[in-house]
Amino acid sequence: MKRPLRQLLESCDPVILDGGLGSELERRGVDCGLPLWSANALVTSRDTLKQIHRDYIEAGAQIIATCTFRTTARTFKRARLRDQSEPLTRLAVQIARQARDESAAESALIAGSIGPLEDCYRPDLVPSDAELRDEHAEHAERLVAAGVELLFIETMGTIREARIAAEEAKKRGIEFAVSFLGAKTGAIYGGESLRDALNAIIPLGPSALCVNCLSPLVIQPLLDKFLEAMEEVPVLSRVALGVYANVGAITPDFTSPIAIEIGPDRYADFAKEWHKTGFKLIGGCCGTTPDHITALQKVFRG
Amino acid sequence: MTPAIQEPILRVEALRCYFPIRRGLLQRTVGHVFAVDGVDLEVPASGTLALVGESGCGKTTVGRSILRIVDGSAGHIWFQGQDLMALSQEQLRPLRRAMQMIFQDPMTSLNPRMRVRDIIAEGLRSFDLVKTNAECADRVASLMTRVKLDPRQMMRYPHEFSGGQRQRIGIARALAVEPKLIVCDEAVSALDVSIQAQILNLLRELQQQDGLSYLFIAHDLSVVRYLADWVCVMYLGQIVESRQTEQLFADPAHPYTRGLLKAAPSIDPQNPTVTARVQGEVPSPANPPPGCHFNTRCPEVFDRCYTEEPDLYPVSGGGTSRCFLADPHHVPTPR
Repeated sequence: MKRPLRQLLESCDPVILDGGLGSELERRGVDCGLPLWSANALVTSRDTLKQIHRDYIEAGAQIIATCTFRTTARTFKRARLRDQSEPLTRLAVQIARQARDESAAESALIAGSIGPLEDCYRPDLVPSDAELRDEHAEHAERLVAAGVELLFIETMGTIREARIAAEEAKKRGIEFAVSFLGAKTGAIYGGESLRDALNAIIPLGPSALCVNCLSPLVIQPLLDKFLEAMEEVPVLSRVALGVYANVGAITPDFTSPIAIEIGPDRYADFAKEWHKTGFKLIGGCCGTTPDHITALQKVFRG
Repeated sequence: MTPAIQEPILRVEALRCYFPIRRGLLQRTVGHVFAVDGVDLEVPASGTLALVGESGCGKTTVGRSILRIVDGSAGHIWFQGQDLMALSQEQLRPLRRAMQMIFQDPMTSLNPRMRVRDIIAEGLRSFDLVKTNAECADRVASLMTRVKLDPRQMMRYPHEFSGGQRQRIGIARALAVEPKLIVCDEAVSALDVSIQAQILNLLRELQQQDGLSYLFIAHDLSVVRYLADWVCVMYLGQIVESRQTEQLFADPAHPYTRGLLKAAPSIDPQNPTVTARVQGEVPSPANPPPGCHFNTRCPEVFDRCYTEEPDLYPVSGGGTSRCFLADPHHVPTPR
């Protein structure tokens, strides 16, 4: 099995990920109505989507995630639309690859983004094991067929869904990373501990484990628990840890669902601290922009 | 077992949630965290059972085990005639609609990328309860009205609402699928005292209208007095006292309950009280002290508490206490 992420991790510390995609589409005026959310851009705003990927690559992102967080068949059914999950998943990968090919910057890895099947904030609605297995298998298969170089299983709020998605990635012989949606309490969103999450996922052979989509202002307890949990893992089984936080917050103008509270330089200051404590993949989640990634590039690559 | 004052809608028997502690190169299991260690409780139909204890006592794990968000290690959870512990996730799906949860922190429990309409409608769509977008919008408007929010604000995002309003959104989200039981996990803890009272009033009103049953999880006894029919106090994974609410407040049997009562702030904004914590720190659930688990903090500890583990003993007026002081055969021997 090719492991481009592991190779990258051997040569770069930290590896820089891209920033928010759905929120950046919205910031650039794309209607990201639910349930399709960022997948709307695959129908209405392909050029904008490609430009965002390019901007992230040129800002210094070494991995860009495809616009496939919400291109599952379940999402189209929820939207009461004809099922376009297969062609739009393929298109999303094509757009990411074109952005890379057209970019003047160094190459970036194309990671197929896999999100939870239901809303990330509803651990009580996570589907049955059989549904999880069938639908994550289908999505992973399509991403691999479309040519992604690794899979990024992200914003997972329960161990059960993360484990099944990771098992389906592993079956396809492609390198994968798993990222959990964290809670301020230091647990993953569904209430389970990071220690249990690591025990469930590490035996499946991920190349990295991350946490994402929590504000830097409240993420520290989660990061501390993450480091503690990894300390308990045998040295030979340890994998790289990553973090990509959101910077959205309440603002008085209410003009955007993700108003930027933490600017690029301040975000980079947080990132420096995360890196010092041992996080080796660092990027941005909702609300972060190419400017945030540029700031990361500056502090880590000078 | 908690004697329910009405027929229970939910009965939990000997629930245990043990999490392995693994160490070393081979990740051998070297111990367990006893997050929940043999809990029995009953939630009365159309009534409220409060589960109270300090952070880390296992109360949230009990709530999440009931909803099978986390899996218990042993025991039974009886709901609508079925043992939830014995069901697969597939078999559980039809019952999920009848059991909903209101989460602790309304600032982070709502998807910031979703409009309120979509947050409330998520369950309606997931369970296929609406056929058209117009029907969905009507249902959302009606739910917003029920929780005293302005339906004209359904296209707004969560960050445009105050903490109390967000918790009303969380309640509307839970109500959307017409549940029978709602697990309220620290549902008012993150709110100001005056807002807590408003949310408790709303929960009680909805209970009276719909016959809802609540498992109300809280760390602070003062908020449960108003709502609960029965209270179970938890400490280090075990129920230490189980009483009818007024009896528990009038005559707490367990020293831990007495400590919590002293520590409980008033929810009356006109009459706030200065509070004191229960002395000492909660021991690790991976390594509970031998004997009575509360012996490291108990102001009434005596020799027997270090050598024997107390059972749940009946107390006058009904209910139980896990303290030798309630043991009818106990002969006091103060240290």
